[in-house]
Amino acid sequence: MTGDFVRAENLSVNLGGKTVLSGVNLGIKHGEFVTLIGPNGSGKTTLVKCLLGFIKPSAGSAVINTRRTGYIPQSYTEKGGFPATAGELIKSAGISAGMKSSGVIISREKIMAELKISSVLNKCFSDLSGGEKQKTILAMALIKKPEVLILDEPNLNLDPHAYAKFLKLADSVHKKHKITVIFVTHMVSAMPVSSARVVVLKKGGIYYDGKAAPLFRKKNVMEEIYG
Amino acid sequence: MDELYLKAFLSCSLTGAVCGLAGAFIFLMEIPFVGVAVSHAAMAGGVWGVILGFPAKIAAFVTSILMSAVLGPFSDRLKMHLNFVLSVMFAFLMALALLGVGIFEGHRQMMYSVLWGNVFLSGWNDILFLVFLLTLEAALIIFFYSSLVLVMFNREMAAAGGVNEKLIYYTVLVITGAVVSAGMNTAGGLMIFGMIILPAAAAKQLCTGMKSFIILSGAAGLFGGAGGAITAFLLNLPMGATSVLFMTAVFLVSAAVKKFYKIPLNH
Ligand SMILES: Nc1ncnc2c1ncn2[C@@H]1O[C@H](COP(=O)(O)OP(=O)(O)O)[C@@H](O)[C@H]1O
Ligand SMILES: [Mg+2]
Repeated sequence: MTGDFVRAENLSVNLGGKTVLSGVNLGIKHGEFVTLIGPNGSGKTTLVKCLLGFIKPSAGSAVINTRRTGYIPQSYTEKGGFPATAGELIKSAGISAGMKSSGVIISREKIMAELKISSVLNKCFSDLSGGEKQKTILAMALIKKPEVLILDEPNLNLDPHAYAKFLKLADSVHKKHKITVIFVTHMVSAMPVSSARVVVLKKGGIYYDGKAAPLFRKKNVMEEIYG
Repeated sequence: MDELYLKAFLSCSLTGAVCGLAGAFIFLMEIPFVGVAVSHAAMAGGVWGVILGFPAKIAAFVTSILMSAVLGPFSDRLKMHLNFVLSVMFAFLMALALLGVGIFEGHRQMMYSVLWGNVFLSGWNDILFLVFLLTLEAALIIFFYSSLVLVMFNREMAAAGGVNEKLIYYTVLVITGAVVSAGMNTAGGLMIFGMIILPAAAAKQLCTGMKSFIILSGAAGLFGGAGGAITAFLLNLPMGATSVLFMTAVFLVSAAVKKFYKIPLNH
């Protein structure tokens, strides 16, 4: 586990007097695609926020071995109409990560084309559809050429069709950009096909860590995960 | 125009511009209440400053800055929205101010002057300070533009991207406090509310892009302050209230333009 690109060792977290994570051990190698799955309240978001350094562990450690992380939080600003265009947001993400203005414009064009959102360049973020918003946020993460991409329940704002497309996109982004992806979801049905590795979190501990296929060969997989 | 009027005009216009720029961020953070809360901090600071033997103006300013400096950290530590922290502080500071006035009757006048403001009392050093604030705001916006946009959009995404989001967020709050405190000479602690919200609200009607929103908000503030000051001279009206009415008119016009023309400024 030492030497892993992303790792949690004996990680425990207490929040508001409640044990949210206890004794979690997880190691992720560079370039892996890991799906983190578990029922609501199992501690997925907490684990991810620990890795990012937003929440301090009460015991153990959690680290990501790079500063170049792209993070798509479970919920992001909605507010009463945020006055910024998709293009501005993506550009700001690039520039605040230290990119040059000219370079950002070129990268932005490429990424928006890759995600098929070139047409929303000058549209207000608040006026976009759920899928376009999600892709804009993905573009904000990708423009920095991150080494790790963390997506926390990206399905929440999307209808099933848009979500299926988003999954394919996440898959192709992983392959094309050769980055580590941590994909968080509470729905087994919302799991990306490409994910070779599944980590099941249950009541603050790791319940399963391995290939997807054996897990789903079990008869009562639903009960095992959600029960 | 004699010097008294010139100073009042400059004071009112600069306050409009300074408040307009800060107002854009107050709008983005959704904390309009900050105007009222900071002005009561100033009031409490002024009253107790005088009681304890400090110059009222400086005590008022220092208290405002202190309040806006602890605002962000309190909100983060307590996991409470800024607006709730502001409400708690507002209640506490108003009680503190009234207590001071209750004990030392003579300070009532000082409380009124904070609440209503008096632009004719502002001197050249007040105007210079407004110029300094305006320059500071503009410099921060220009040099930290991208990080500011990101932090206003989502603090955690900004942090994951390597932005020192806490420093930026807290700095915006402190500057907001300084702006409200400085603007109170002109508009008074009550009217300042309109000065920070109306320009941003007017700009929001026309803009779907961040750059145009911030620039237009500052411009609407300057225009409202200057227009209000001139109208007040001509019709012999109180300047703070006239400026706020003028800004309300600007807001209504931009809302009408949005309704009938639908041409968003998307940059
Ligand atoms: N700040 C907090 N204070 C107290 N409890 C919390 C806090 N944040 C999360 N929790 C609790 O921790 C548990 C795990 O939350 P979370 O990590 O968001 O779960 P998931 O993302 O898997 O749905 C939940 O029971 C939640 O109520
Ligand atoms: Mg979650």
